[in-house]
Amino acid sequence: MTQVHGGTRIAAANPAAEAAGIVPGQPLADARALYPGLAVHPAAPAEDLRALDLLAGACTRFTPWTAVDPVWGGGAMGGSLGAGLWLDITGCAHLFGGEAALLERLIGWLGRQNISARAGLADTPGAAWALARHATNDSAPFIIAEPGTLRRHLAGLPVAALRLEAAVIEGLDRLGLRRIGDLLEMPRGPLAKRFGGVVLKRLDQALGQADEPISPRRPPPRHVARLAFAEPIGRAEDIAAGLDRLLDRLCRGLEAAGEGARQLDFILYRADGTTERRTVGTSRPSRDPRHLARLFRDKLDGADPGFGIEIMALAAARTNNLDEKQTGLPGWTLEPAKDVNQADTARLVDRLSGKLGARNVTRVRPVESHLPERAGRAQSAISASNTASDWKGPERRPPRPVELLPQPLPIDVMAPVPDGPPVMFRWRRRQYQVARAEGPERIAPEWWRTEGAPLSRDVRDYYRLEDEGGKRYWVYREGLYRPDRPPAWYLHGFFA
Amino acid sequence: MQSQAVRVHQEGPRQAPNSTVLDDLKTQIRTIERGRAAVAAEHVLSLGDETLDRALPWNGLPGHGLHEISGDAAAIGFAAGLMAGFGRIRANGTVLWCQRERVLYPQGLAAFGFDPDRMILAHGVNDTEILWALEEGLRTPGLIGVVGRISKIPPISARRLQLAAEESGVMCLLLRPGAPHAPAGAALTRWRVTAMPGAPIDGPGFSPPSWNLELQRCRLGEAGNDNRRAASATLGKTRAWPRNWEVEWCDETGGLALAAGLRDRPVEPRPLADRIH
Repeated sequence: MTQVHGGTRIAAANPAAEAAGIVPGQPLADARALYPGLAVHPAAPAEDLRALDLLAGACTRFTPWTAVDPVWGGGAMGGSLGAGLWLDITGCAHLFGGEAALLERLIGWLGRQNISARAGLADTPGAAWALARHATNDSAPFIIAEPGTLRRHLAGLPVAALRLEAAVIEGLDRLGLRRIGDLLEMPRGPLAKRFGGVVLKRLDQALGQADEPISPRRPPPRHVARLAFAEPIGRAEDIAAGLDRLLDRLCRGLEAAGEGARQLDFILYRADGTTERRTVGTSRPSRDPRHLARLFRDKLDGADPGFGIEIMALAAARTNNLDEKQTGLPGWTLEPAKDVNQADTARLVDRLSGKLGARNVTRVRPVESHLPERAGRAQSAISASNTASDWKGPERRPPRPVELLPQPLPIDVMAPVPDGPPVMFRWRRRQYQVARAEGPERIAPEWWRTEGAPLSRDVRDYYRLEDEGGKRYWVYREGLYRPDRPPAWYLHGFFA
Repeated sequence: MQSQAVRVHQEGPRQAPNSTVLDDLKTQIRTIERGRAAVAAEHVLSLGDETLDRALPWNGLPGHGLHEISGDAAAIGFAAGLMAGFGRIRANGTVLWCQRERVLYPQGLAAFGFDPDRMILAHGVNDTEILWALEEGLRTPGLIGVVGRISKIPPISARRLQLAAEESGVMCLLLRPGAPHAPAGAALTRWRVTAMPGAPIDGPGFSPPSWNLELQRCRLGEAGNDNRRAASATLGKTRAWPRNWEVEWCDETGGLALAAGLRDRPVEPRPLADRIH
């Protein structure tokens, strides 16, 4: 494993290579001299990070709050020591029978996937980082610093445990400061003068005297329900039954908080460490388990249980306030009929969007534009607001067709006067005699808009035509009349 | 009934009670004819003209069932007008409009009194998806109605739609492009709307949308069934009605108005039964 760093150096080594004396940071030539048969692969930090991200996702089975440790130390810190995962297990440990049991499960679970991991658990991220990397070994892969014992645990660790740069560690070493305990006894002034704030900052972070915010991969949802199975399940009915139980629990939590879900994530943790995520959205906050279960029903069709599902989790990723529903006395309705209607309609929109795709279930909003194809904007009905808008347009505007072709169709036209209405046109090899015509309505291109390619940048003269049978068409001539070029005509819509 | 009518006649010259009794009798006859399709008046939409309404056994178009409309753009206008009419009856409702093609133009529908704000447009990729969406809509009580444009519909699906519409009281309009060969048998009414040259008007502009409206079938009615037509024709003048009307969209009333006689052009020959009277 190599990395270019002022020459080719070892970025990471597997246990066999380390046994042969090869350590990260060593020039490749030296390593080859130690062991000529060394198998070398180029380092791929980006892919490593992606793998870590996947792992962080899979670790949400222990806590919803996981993050990839962005520290990626090449150089002196050594690749294998640089990367890691943050897991905030606040409030989660009791689910697994205590902190030690949780860590044991975590290490064991990773071990079954051939990932050797070390874990440190402490009150601060800095201390946990130090403990995981410098206080563990193969026989004791994890260590827990009980509250109040931080100083004692940290004192014996090397200064490298403070996440310092190689040059700073070297400088401290020259002063004879090799352990964190040595730093703790030092007056702060001289340390700051010599090394800048960084040593003190890291020290304070490790001891909890300075904040260290870490952004989780995903903001942790406030409403989560989780179901672990004694044995992996695989049947679709079992998954649906599990989902029902989760929904029940989640909805009770939502009700207690006076909230309703706008978006739900359903996560299936498979036995082989992979996850599958299904998401549904609702147009109005909801905490009706039956309605939400219906939304998931279509989504679960393609769910592949793989080798079996060990854990299911359901999280309300987005919620809105939802007021307590008032139950009326018999014979009295406290809810106005309008609200009932809207709730029913919102449920319909949710189901349609779930099956047909949110893009295909729309409400249309008027847009102030002269171009007919721009005058309406389709919004996904699931997110569209339900407000009244102005559809009539300006007074005395010529009528608009009931159908508008997304792409105007070229037609052949016979017009006695070059800039007059047609008397006959051909469309799809059929000839139409124009019995009546009205127009033109001149629509100029909107030159001030540049986004999106307009159908044309020319002026259009629209005519309403009626053929002999009474059918009415909307056609236009593109561009101003020019003697040197026959005008182009298009069919754009149909009137009722 | 006949004897009762005679008795009324003998009672004398008083006009007012006379007509009340007649009205009562008419109501009775109508109730018998409607059978189980009797619907509350607030769920029946007047088409805008008495002649049209009287042609239907519900004295208007009932909003609780499946109706089929075939035709081109004219059919879309007719459907939009019907939905707008029911929208006035049922405030706060929404219309679900399902079709494959992305060609519907809300500004054009607004001309028929239809409020695009109250429309949800669903685009399916095939007829199965559209039928599914229609049925979902019909099971949603808050809707005014659902409109589905669909080329082929299996009889069972049509029956399902009709049952769902009857149960929830949501109106279902099936738009059939062109002239379908396999009409939906379960529909309460079946219409064909074709464009017709508008009446000549003074000055620039077009006349309002003019259609030839053909009632092809009507459950509990006589359209398309000449035997029953002939039998009922003996009951009285009102029973024999034409199946074809030339109508115009009327902006003021938000309904249809008969347009016959407004123009000088050959009129389609009427069915024989109509010309006898």
